[in-house]
Amino acid sequence: MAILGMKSFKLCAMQKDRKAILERLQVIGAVETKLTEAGDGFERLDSKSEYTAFLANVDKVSRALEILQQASPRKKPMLAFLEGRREVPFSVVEEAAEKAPGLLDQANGVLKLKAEIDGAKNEILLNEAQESLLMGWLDLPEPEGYPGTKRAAAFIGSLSGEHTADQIVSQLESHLDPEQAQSVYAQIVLARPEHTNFFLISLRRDAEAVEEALRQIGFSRPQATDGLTPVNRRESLRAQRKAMLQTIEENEKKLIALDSLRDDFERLQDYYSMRAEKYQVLEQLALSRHAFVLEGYVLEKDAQRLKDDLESNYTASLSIEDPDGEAPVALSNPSFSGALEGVLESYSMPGKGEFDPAVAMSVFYYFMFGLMFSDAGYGLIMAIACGFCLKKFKNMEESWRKSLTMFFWCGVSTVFWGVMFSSYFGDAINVITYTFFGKEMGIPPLWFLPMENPMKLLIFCLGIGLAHLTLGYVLNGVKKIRQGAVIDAVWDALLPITVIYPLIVILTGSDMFLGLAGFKNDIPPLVTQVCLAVSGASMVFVVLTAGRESKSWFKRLLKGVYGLYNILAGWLSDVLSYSRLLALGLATGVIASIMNQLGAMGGKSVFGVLLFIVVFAAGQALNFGINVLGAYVHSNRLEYVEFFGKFYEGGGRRFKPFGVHTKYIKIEEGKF
Amino acid sequence: MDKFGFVFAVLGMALAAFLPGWGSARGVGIAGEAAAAAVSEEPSLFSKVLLLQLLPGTQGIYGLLIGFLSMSSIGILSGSAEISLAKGLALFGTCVPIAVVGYFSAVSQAKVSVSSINLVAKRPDQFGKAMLFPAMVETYAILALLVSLLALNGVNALNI
Repeated sequence: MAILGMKSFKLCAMQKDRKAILERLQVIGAVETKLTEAGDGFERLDSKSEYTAFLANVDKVSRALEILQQASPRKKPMLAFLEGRREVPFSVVEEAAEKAPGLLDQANGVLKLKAEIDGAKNEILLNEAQESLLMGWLDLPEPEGYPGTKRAAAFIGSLSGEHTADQIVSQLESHLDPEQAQSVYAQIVLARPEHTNFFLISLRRDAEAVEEALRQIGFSRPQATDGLTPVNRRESLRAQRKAMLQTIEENEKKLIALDSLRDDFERLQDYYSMRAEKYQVLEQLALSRHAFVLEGYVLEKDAQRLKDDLESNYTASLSIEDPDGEAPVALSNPSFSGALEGVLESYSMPGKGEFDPAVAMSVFYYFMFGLMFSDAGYGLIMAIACGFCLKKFKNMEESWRKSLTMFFWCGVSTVFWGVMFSSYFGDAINVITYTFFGKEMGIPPLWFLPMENPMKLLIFCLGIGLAHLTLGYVLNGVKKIRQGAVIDAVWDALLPITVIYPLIVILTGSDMFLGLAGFKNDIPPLVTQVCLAVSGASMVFVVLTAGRESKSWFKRLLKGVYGLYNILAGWLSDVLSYSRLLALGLATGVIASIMNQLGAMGGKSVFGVLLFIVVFAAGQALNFGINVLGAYVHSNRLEYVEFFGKFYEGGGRRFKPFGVHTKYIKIEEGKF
Repeated sequence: MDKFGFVFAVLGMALAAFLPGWGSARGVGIAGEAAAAAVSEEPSLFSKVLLLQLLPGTQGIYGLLIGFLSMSSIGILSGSAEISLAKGLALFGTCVPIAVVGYFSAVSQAKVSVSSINLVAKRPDQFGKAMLFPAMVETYAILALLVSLLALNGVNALNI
């Protein structure tokens, strides 16, 4: 329920123990290291290249694992991500370290097999494209590169467009002497509207002139230099393709056979992740020839144990001091409010001199979430689903546990408000009994039906806002007092309260309030006068004190007036902001009812029941999704903007200990 | 003339349903483009950017809500259309806040969502803050919904 005490430490130890000590620190995961000052014969180690190499290995192994998963898919159960990492003794990591070089070769082998498969697949595409080009030449009995005989020159190629042999010859005639043209003979291999492939011969001595003439009418030769006839080349392409398909098949078989390596690869990947993290810390050490120094932070509760642990096992000395201003922040809360640490951290961790607001925010958070979601059916689904997961998966990661715990309590609160307002999937019970059984039945609300008296609920929501904001001001006062600024607490925290509360008391006796809420308090004139006096005096004090940082009296007064305006306008706009509780609460119930009405349109028949089931399931699921999002976002907003705005600045940094940040395994000895 | 009350009321209902719906469709579309771009770079951001994409979608739901409530006050669903001109105009008026604010806030919110999606793409750890910026815009849609809802409730109870 608070911020945990933090200490800074300085560890001096022998070089020979370095590896063992760093491994020990990593396994217990209790310290955050910082850059240790070098100098005085101490130097820092540059381990960036090793670090990047380890990261590259992590990447390789994880890709190899993906490839193996593709080759022989293992179906994961739906909630597998909640199962958490397997706990293993440290010896497993040591084993992985021994096997690492060999296993890495195997991982590289997997990558190579996959690269070969990909390469072959590309080749096959290319090969097929080549074969389709050959189709137009299959009738040619000679290779495309066939030069002709001693006396006759052969030209094999194509023109764009469709031509007959005579047309080609007559086109050539305009570029040749009549005598040369006479000896030209063309034969069509294939004529298509796009292009015409043909075979042309001329006398050897005219070859140059004919070639030039052909060039002028747009002749192009096919690219083939292997000296094979088209039919033979097709056979050879097909043979190549067969070989490639075989390679693919063989490699895929090999990959399936390597499936047994997956457990080893998982450990290997984690081993490299651990090494990478260790080398990051290694950069922060200051080293001399025989000793090294490491500085960092450790939780106060762990400090002594850490000292005993290191000093008894190694030649080492650990000095523990009070931390500097840069120290990170760690929080500890019971699970009810600890579940909201994630929401808190999304805003900011507590800064210097602040306290942990998790407990203060948690009660209102769940309360407001429930009021906005406000449906017993939805709440029950949420609470049961989260509760089931929390119960079933004991080993889940901490962040999941926190989120699920948060939504569990949100669900409980939602059930509470749903029962208060009689919303069970909207008015599903009424609609079902009326449509299918002819007699409308429903569970009466424990409190009242919001749609029948929305003003009452509006006043209630604004009242919650008033309480929430007041708590914010009170916490501001507490913070100021803890920081020793008692007088500031009076001016900044007490005055806003004493300005507004008497006015609210008077307001509850007004006719306007009667119009809104349907009742009013009978306030004796004396009370009214006292209230006015208290509020008026507070306003005067605000005007006098709100600008107390300015030197000049005039400026101070102006700032004071502005301060008063801010307090009054602030209360008004902040409190009105809580009207969203009503709007979103009504929206959940009304939309759910709309879905029920739509579903019931089929009336009392078999078709009607089926329609109802389908529309009900889809509509309620949609409404659930949209409103759970709305309730979450706006609970956060009310906490962040309205509530934190009153007292909480944040700016702290979360304590991120050097540890085992892996994907598959965690270390048993980590419990320290 | 005696049917004009009904006509105005139906017009109001239609506005409440289609303007915010149109705005949300545009908004979710705009944000969706940015979301798809972010996921193309980093698929693991999917769930986060999906939430941000959905934020401008609520206005359409608010419009639907007011549209439906108007329908039941007009009596379209039960088949009666006896509405005085005054009541018809009043019902039209109750639909205006959510219709207009719903449309414009959805489009503005979408622009903020796009920026927030870019923010999450660069710094996924800042999701909590990124989500808050679009939520700020939504406040005004909620206020408009509230006014429409309370006014509709009030007009229903009046005997005019």
